[in-house]
Amino acid sequence: MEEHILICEDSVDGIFTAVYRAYEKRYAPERTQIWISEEENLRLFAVYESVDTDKETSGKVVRTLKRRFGEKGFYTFCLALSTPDTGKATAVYRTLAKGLRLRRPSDIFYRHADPDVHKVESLQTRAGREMDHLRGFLRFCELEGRILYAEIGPENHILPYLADHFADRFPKEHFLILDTGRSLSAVHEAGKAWFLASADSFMRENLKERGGEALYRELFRCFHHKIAIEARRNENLQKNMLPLRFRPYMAEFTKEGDGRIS
Amino acid sequence: MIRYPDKGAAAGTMEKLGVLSDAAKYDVACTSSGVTRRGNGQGMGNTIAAGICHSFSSDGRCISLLKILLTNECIYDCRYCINRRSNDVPRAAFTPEELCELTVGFYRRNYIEGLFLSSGIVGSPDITMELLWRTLWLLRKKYEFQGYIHVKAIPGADAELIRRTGMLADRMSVNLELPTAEGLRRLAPNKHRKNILTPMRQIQTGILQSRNELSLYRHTPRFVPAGQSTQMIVGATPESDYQILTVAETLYRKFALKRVFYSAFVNVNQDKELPAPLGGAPLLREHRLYQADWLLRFYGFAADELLGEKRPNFNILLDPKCDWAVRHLDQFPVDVQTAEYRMLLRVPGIGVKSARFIVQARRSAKLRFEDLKRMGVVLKRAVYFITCSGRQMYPTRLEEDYIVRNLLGEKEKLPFEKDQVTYRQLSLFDDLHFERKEESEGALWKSIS
Repeated sequence: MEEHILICEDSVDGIFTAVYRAYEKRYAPERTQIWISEEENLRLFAVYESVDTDKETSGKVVRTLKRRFGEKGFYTFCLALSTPDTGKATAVYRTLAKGLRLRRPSDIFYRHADPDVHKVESLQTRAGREMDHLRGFLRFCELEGRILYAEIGPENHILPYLADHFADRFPKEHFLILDTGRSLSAVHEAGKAWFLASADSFMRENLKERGGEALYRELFRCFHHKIAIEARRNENLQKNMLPLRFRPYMAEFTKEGDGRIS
Repeated sequence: MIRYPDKGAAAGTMEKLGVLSDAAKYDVACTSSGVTRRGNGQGMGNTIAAGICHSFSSDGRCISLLKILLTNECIYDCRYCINRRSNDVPRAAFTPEELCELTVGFYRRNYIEGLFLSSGIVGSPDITMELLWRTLWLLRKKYEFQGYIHVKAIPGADAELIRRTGMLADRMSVNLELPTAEGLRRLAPNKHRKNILTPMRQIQTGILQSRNELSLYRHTPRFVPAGQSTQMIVGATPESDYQILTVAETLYRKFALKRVFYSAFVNVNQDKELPAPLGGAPLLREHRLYQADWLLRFYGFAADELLGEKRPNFNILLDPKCDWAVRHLDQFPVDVQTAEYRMLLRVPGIGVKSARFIVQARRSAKLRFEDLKRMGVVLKRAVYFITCSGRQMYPTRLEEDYIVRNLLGEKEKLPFEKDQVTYRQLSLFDDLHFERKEESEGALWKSIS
C-alpha cells in the first residue's frame, strides 16, 4: 500500500494548506504524513508531493477547526505547531482527522493513550511551558519616545501568543518585542492591534534607551538580591525554576553594558 | 504621568527599597494566582488565574510580586521578627506615592506581576491600615493599575478600613504567625489569637457576600476576588506536625482559606525564648507539611488519616502519601480501569493530572502500563499499588517491608540537598527544651466561630 507524503512550509498556514490538500484528495490519514522539510533518505513506495502555502485555503481549515474543536482546541493545535519538532505536522493532522470523525471532535483530547494525541499534547505542553516562562521572564526597557522594547530567544515560535498577552496587559503603551532567533518582531502601537514585522524593518543599533533606565534595572537588581533568604540559599532549585538560557535577556542576571542597547 | 527619579532621589529610593524588601522577605506568599481579569483597554494590567512567576531569587523562591513593607517601623515586639521594636536595625518608610511610582515602573518593565504590600505597625493598627488603603487607592484610581495586589489586613484595625481595602485588593491575608495561641502568647506578646481570627472571619464573610451580590449585579465591585491566605512559622514553638496540620485543616474548612503557607523558622534575633536549630531552618519539615497540605486540598485526605495522637510527626524518609499507602495495604492493589477517581488519587505516583487523564482515557481504551507512563504516572512508585486488566506490571509482593524497602531504594526528589537538613536533630532539640503542651485547640476555634 503506498504512502503519501506532503511536504510544506514550516508555518501554521503552510501546514493547514497541506491538511486541506490531504482532505481534498481523500488520502487515508493513517497512510499520510505531512513533513515540514524533506528527509534525506527518500522512501520506496511513497509518493511525495510538495504543497504551496495558500492563505485562503488555510483560512478555511482554521474556520473549520475553530468551529468543530472550539477556540481552546484550536489553540492546542497552534501551540503544538509552534514547536520546532519535525513530526509535529503529521501528529496534528492525524489527531484532527481522528477528532473530526467523532460526534464531539474535542473529545479526541481525552484519548491520552493514542500516540498521535499524546504527541500533540506533549508538544503543546512544551510550548505552553515556555509561554508561561516568557510571560514572566521577558524584560522591557524603555526607549526614547516612550516605547517599551524587549528581546527574547525562545525555542518555540510563540511570539504571536506572547504579543496577545502583552497587548491585553498594556493597551496604552507602544511596545516592540524582538525574537532574535527568528528575526521577527511584534509591534504594538498604543490603542491599536499589534502586528508581526520582519526585524529588518528597524535598525537595532539605532534604538536609543531613555535616560534613567539603568537606574530601574539597578533598583530591580537590588530588590532581587535583598528578597532572598541567605539561610535557604539553593541555587540548584533556582536553576530548575529559571533555566540559564533565559538569563542573558534578564536585567537581574546581567551587568550594565554587556550586549544591551545603550 | 510617570516621573523619573533624579539621581539624589534615586539613591534614597534604592536605600529604602533595600531596607524594606529585606524586611519583607520572611513573608512566604508571593503567589499572583486565583483571579483572571482581562485588561479593560484603558489602564494598565491584567491578571491570570494560574499566576505568573517573574523571576527566582537565589534561594529558589518565586518572585512574582513586589514584596515590600510600607515601613519597617513597628510598635510591637514579637520575638521572632526582625523588625521588632527592640531591634537596632535601619528603619525606612515609603510614602504611598513613592511606592505607587515604583510599582508601576517595575510593572511596565515586566519585572513583577503586582504588589504585595505589608507593613510594620506605625502608631496604631488603624493608622497603619489606613496608610495601606491609601496606597492601594492611589494605585488603582490615580495610576489606573489593574495588576495583582496582595495586601495584609492588620489585626486590630477597624472593620470598615479592612472592608474598603478589600474592595481594592485581589488577595488579603492575616498572618496566624504561630500554630497555637500558647505559642503566640509567648513569642508575640502584643498579638492575640482573637485579634487575628476576627479579621480573618470578616474577610471570609466579605468574600461570600461579594459572591452573592455578584450573582445579582454583574458589574458590582468584587471584594478580595482571589481569596484569603495566611501563614505560620514552623519550628519556633514545640507544636507537632499533627497539631499544625489540624490547624491548617480547620482554617480550610471553617475559614474557607485559599492557601495556608508554612515558613521554616529562621532564627534572626538570637532571642533566648527561641530555639536555635542546629541544622539550619527545618526545610524538610516544611516540605512535608506542604506535601500534606496538597493532600488535604486536592487529594481528599483528612489530617486524621495522615497523622494522629500516636504518630504526631511525619516520616522523614517517606512522603506522606507513600506513608499512608503502605499503612493501608488492605485497600490495594486497585485496577486503573475500574478504580474510582477518589481511589486513584490515593495511589503513590498518580497525581491529580494523571488521575484525571486515566479517567478520561479509559472511556475509549483499555489502558496498558506504557499508556500510564505516557500520562505521567510515576510507575516506579505506583507499580506496587495498581493493576492493568487485573495484572501487575511484574510480580511484586503486597508487603509493607518489601514495598518500603523498594520505595526507599528510589531516591526521593527533594527541592533541596538532604544533608543540609537535620530533621532528627531538630525534633530531639524540641524535646530537650520544651515541654509539649497539648492545647485545647477545639475550644479556641469554638470561641471565635
